[in-house]
Amino acid sequence: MSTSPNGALAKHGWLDVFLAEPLSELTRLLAGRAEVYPYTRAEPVDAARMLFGDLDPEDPARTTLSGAILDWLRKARSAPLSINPAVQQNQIRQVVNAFEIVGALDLLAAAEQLRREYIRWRTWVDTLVIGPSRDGRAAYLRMLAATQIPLAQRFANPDGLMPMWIRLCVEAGASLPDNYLQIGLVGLRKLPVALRRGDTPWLAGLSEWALAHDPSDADFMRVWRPLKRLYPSSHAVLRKQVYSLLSQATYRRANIVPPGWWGADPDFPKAQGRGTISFEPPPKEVRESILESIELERPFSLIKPRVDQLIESHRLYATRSGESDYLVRTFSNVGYKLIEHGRDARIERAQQAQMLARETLNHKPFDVIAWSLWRDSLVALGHYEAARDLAWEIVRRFPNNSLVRNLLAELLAAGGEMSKALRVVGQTVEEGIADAVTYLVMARIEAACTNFEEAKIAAKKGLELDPMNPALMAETERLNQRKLPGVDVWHYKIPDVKGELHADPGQDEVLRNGRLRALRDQLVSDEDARSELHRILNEDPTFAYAQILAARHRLWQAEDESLPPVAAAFEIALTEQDRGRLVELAKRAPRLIALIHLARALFGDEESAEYIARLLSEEDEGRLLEGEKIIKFRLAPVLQGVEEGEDPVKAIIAQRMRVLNTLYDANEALAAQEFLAA
Amino acid sequence: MNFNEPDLAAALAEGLAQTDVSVSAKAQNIAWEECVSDARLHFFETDGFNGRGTSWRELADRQSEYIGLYVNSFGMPHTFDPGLDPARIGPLDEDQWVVRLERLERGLDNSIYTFEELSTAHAERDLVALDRFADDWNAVRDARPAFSTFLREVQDEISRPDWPELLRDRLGLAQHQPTGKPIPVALMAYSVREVLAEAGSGIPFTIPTVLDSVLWEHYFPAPKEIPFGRAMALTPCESDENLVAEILHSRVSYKGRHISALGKIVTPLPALPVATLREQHLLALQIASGRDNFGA
Repeated sequence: MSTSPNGALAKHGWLDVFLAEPLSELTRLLAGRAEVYPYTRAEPVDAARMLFGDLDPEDPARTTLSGAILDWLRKARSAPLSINPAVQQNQIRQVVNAFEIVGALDLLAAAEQLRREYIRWRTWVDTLVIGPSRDGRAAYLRMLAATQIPLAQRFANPDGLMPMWIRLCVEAGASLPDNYLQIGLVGLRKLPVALRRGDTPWLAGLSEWALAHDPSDADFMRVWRPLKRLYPSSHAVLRKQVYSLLSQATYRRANIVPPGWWGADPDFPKAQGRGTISFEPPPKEVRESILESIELERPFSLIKPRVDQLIESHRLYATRSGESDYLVRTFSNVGYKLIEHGRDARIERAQQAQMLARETLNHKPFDVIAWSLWRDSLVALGHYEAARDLAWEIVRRFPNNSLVRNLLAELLAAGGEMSKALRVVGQTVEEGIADAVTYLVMARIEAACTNFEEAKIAAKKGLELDPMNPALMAETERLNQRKLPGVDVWHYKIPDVKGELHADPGQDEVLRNGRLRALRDQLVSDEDARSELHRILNEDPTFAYAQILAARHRLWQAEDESLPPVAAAFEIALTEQDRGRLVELAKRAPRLIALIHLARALFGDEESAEYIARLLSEEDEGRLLEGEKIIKFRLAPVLQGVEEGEDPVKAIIAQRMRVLNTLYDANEALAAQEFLAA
Repeated sequence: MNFNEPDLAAALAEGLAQTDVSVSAKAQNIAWEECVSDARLHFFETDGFNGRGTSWRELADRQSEYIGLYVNSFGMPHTFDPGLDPARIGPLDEDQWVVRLERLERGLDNSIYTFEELSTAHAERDLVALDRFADDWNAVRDARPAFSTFLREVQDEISRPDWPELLRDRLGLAQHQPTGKPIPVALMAYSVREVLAEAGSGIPFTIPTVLDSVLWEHYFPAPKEIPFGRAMALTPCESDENLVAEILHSRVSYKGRHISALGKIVTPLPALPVATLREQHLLALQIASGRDNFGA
C-alpha cells in the first residue's frame, strides 16, 4: 500500500486480485489466507473494513464484494455442517464473519437479498448456534438490524421487522440466549420510519422483555441505564412515554402500574399523579365504520384510503406499544371483509387482503386465521395453484386443525381435483381429527363423483357427531334424492380473472413447502413421487423439509462427518429405530423432547411411555409446548387405553400408525419457520 | 521447528529459498521456532485436517487452516492445552497487571454505543454503561489466545497522549494500519489473577509460537533461552533493552473496569522495510539470549 498525495492510503493491491477471482479470494479472506498485508492478522471483518471501507459505494470492488459474499453464503448454506467440533466451529465462525462484513460495510444488495429471503436464511442460521461467539443466527439478526436504515428505500414497509425484534426481546433469556435482548433492542432502535416520527419503540421492547421475565430492579437498570444515556430526554417527557406505554391493556392486565420497572430509576418517582397518555389503540369505531362500508359494498376507491389510514394507525400503535393484538384482529377482519364483499376492484381487494394477511403474520407468525386469509386472498386473486399449495402448507403448520384440512379438501374440489380432495378428508378421519364438517365435505365430494352410497355413509357419520347440523341434514335430504351438490354448496369458487402475483422469495419458500406437503403421502408407495423428491433435493440439497421427508423414506442421509439438521436427524433416528441417536438428539434439541420420548416409547422404552402417559393426562393445556399439544390431541386413544389399565408401552404400540403419523406431523410443524414478510 | 514429514520439510525449504521477504520471513518464523512442543508439532504434521503438498503455498494454507480449527477457536485453543505441552510462562505474581491493545470496531458493531458515546461513558466512569459495552463485546469474542504484555513493560508509552500509535509500534501490531478513517482502540488492563480465575483447566500463560497465529512478517520467534516472547517493534530496535515481553493468555471476559483508556490510531505505520526490522530484531534477540547462532 502507498500513500496518496492527500495523505489517504491508496487502494490495496489485493483488490485487483479479488476483482479477478472474487469468490475464491473472498473464501481466502474469510479463512484468514488472503494476502492482505498488513491486515493478515486482523479479523476478516476488520480487514474488509480496511480494504473496502473507504471505497465509494459504487466502486466495482464494493459492488463485487456484495455479490461475492452472497454467493459465498449460498455456497456455505449448501455445505453440510461437520460433526467434527473444530471444523464445525470454524465453519460457523466464517459465516459469522460474512454476515458481519455485510453489516459493517453496508453491502446493501446482499443485505436486501438476505432480508427478502428471510425464511430460507433463518432456517439455516438456526442450525448454526453453538455458543455466543459461534452464533450464526445472532450474526444474521444483527446484520438485519444494522442495515434497516440504509435499506429503508428498498422495502415497502421499512419497519417490517419490528414485530420480530419485539419477539426477540420477549424470548431473550427464555427460548433464546440472554444476549438476544440487545439484538432485539438494536433492531427496534434502527427502525427508520419510527425514528423519523420520533417514536421510541425500544421502550416497548424493553417493557415486553420485562413483562415476560419480571427482572429485579438491578437487572432492569443494567439494561435501561445504558439505553437511557443514549437518548437524553427531559424527565417529564420520559415519564410520559413510560406512563403511556404501561397504561396499555397488556400491562393493565398484568397489574403493572406505571412507572412499573422504571420505579427503580430515580427519575421516576414511585408516587406519581396520573399522567397524560400520548397514545392509545386506534378507536374501534373507525374499524367498525370501515367494515360496514365494505359490507355495504361501497366502491373500493372510497374504501381504500380509509383502509390505508387504518393500517397506518395500527402500525403506529403497535410500534409505540409493542402490542399487536389490535392490529392482528383488525387486519384479519378487514381482509376477510374485503374478499367477501364488493363487486368492483376484486383483484385490488384481494391484493389488499393478501397484504393484510402477510403483515399480520409478521406480528403473529402462527396465527391460523391470518394464514387462512392469505390462502383465501390467493383464491380471490384467481391463483388456484398458489392457494392450493399454501393450503397444504397451512395443514403442515397446523396439523391438528380440522378446519384447515376441510378447506383444503374444498379447495381441491373447487379446482376439480376430486380424488385428492377425497384423500384429504379420508386422512383427516383416519387420523382422528375429523369433525362433522369433514364428513359433510366428504359427502359432497363423494356425491359429486356420483358415489351416493359412500356419500350417505359419510353424512350419517357426520350426523352422529353433530345430529342437529343443518347443512348435514340438508345434504342427507339431497342425497336421498340422489341429487348432485349444487354449485352454491361449495366454499370456494375460483374466479375467472387472475390478478398479478408479485415475485416474492418469502412466498415462494412457503409455497414450495406446501407442494412438498402435498407429495408427502404419496412417497410411501409412489415411485414418481420419490423421483420428484430426489429431483427437488438435487436441485437444493439444503431444502430442510425435503430432507425431513427424504430421511423418513431412507432417501437421504447426512454426508459422512456432517451433522444433519435436528428435524432430519429425528427422522433418521426414528426410521432406524436408533435409541442412542434419540438420546443424543434430546441433548441437542430440547424442544423435541416429547417427540423423542414418544418415539422411544414406540420402541418399547417403559420410562418414556410413562412420560407420554403423564403428558396425555395433563389437564392444563396451557402448560404444554407446541409439540406436546399435538401429541396430546392426537393420542386420545392411547390415553383411553392407559386409563382402562393398559400398560402404557402396549397402549402406544397398539396405535403404531397413529403414533407414527403424529410424530411426523409434530416434527414437521415444529420445523416450520416463522413467516416474515420482509 | 524441524518437520519430520518430508513433504512439509520440502515445502518449508521452498519458502526459505524465496527472495520475497513476505514469504521468506514467514518461512523463517517456522524454521526458527523453538517453543513448539514435540506433541504439538506431531499433531500439526500428522493430523488430517487439510490436504498437504510440497509447495510453500500448501504449507502456508495448512498453517492457517490449523489456526482456524484449533487456535482461533471456540473451545480451548491448542495454545493452552496441557495435553500438547505448551510453552508455559510462570509462575507469575498474580497481582501484576497485563495490558492489551484491542481494536474496537467489532465490539462497537455489536454494541449499542458509538465510540464517542463509549468515550463519554468512560470519561464519566459510568461502569453500568461500560459493563453493557463489555458484555455485548464479550458475546462475539471467542477463546483465541490474547497477545499482550505486562503493564510495566509499556508504562512510558501509555502515559503519553499518542499512546495508541506508540503502543501499536512498540508491540509490532502492523495490522492496525489506518486507511481513511482512524481506528478506534482500547487499552485493556487486568490482573494475572483475573486471567487465572477464568482459565479453568488449561495453562493460561504461554510464550507465543508460530502456531499461535496466522503466518506473518511481523511475528518473530524467540529463542528458548528467553522466558517470554519478544514483540518485534515497527520502529528500529536499537538495543536488546528495547525488546518488549510478549505473552499469550487465555480468554478474559472483559468488564467495564478493564477499559483503561480509549483512543484512536490515526497515523500510518512507520515506513520501515520489514527486512530491516527483522534484521535488527534478530540481532537484539541474539544478544539478549547470548546465542549468536539463533536464526543463523
